[in-house]
Amino acid sequence: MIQVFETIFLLFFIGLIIVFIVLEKRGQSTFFRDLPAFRRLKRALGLAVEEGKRIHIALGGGSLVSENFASGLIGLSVLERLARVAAVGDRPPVASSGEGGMMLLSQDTLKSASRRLGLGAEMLASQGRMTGTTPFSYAISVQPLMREESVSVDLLLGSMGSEAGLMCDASERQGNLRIGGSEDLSAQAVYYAATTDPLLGEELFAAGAYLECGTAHRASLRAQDVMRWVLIVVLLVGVLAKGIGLL
Amino acid sequence: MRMTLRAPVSTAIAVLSGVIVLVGYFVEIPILTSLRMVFLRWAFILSAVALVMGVLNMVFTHWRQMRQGQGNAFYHLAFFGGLVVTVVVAGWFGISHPFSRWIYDAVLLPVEASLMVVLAVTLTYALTRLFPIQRSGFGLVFLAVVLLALLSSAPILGKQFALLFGHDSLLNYLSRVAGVAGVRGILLGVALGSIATGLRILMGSDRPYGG
Repeated sequence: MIQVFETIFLLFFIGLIIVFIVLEKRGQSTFFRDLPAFRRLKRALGLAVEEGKRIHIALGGGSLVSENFASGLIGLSVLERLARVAAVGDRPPVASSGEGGMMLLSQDTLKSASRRLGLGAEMLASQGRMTGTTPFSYAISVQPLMREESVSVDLLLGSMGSEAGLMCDASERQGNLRIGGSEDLSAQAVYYAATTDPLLGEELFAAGAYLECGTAHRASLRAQDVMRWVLIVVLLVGVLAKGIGLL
Repeated sequence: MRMTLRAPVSTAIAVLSGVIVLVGYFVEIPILTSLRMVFLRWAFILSAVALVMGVLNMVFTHWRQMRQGQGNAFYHLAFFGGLVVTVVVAGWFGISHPFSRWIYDAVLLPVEASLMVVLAVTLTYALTRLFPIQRSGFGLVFLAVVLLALLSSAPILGKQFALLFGHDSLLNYLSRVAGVAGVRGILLGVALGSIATGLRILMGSDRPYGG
């Protein structure tokens, strides 16, 4: 038995991404609305390299086998992009995680970034660290890293809950730029109150496109926009059908 | 040479296993379903192995920092002491033994509970600083909803106001209509983003495994 609607939805999504990848490669790009978080991040990245400061990316504690792993994958894409830029400075970026699988992936990401730059693979890989195994132990034990490693930007891009508030507080005490995004609703509420630039809802998943992580990121963001309109139309048709008694 | 060989192999493994698991979810073919279960079992085992690697990483990081005189030595010693005691007790007696449970009940739980209290204070402090950070009408809405939710969490001086309590209250209406609608909208965006992220991995364009 085939799950028809889910299969059609997925195939349509894949088709859109492929179409937009082709269009992007042909140079037919699109304009994305301004998101201040990414504008400020780009500026802060340049300043960090100039001042010999470090960027910290908190990847959270999303497990490899859980459904909340996607935000951590976005964090890894951003880590790879920033490592390519910031590794030429005195202090390469550092990635913290609250789960073993995420730590291994962050080390692998940093290794591949350093290989591309022709640097020693182990030099950057040691900057991927696990700091705690439970949400609160992770949020607390990442704080010495924020204090003692000359961090100027904290990017909280991973699976976290309300415990992210503790990290935001530590970051604020250091006077760091704080950008936070998570798929968790309580974390989003905390980020709204405690970060300089919160990423709400799907804004987190736009990070790759805005930070120029590759054609596929731009294409998938355009596909997401189309799919959002498809869903809106389906919802409105459903409401109308229900209203006139067809459903 | 190592890099050029490794990249396509790891990408092929990731894409192939991902496609098999996904197709096994959508199409009920016995061999695909059993393959999917095998892969998921492997993923759970690898996840446990990754946890051990993570703990080893914490040991090496604390050891290196202690040798280089970085950070507070007390924290490093507390980490090593806690790790050794927990591993020895849980390893020797088993994780369900009263000694192991005592470590969990008398040390871990109280510490995490105290952090919950610290979090409550931290979030209250963050709320007082909301307006310097979020200078917009949405900041005001956020603050108003938080205050309404706090006021409705318990009777005020022993009295329950109709505006805040009960099925017909303003707060209940806000939660049921505006709140649920907003949450669904945000979750739809998150779901679309998560699917797109997964599809990029399946298409091999995102390779967080260093391929």
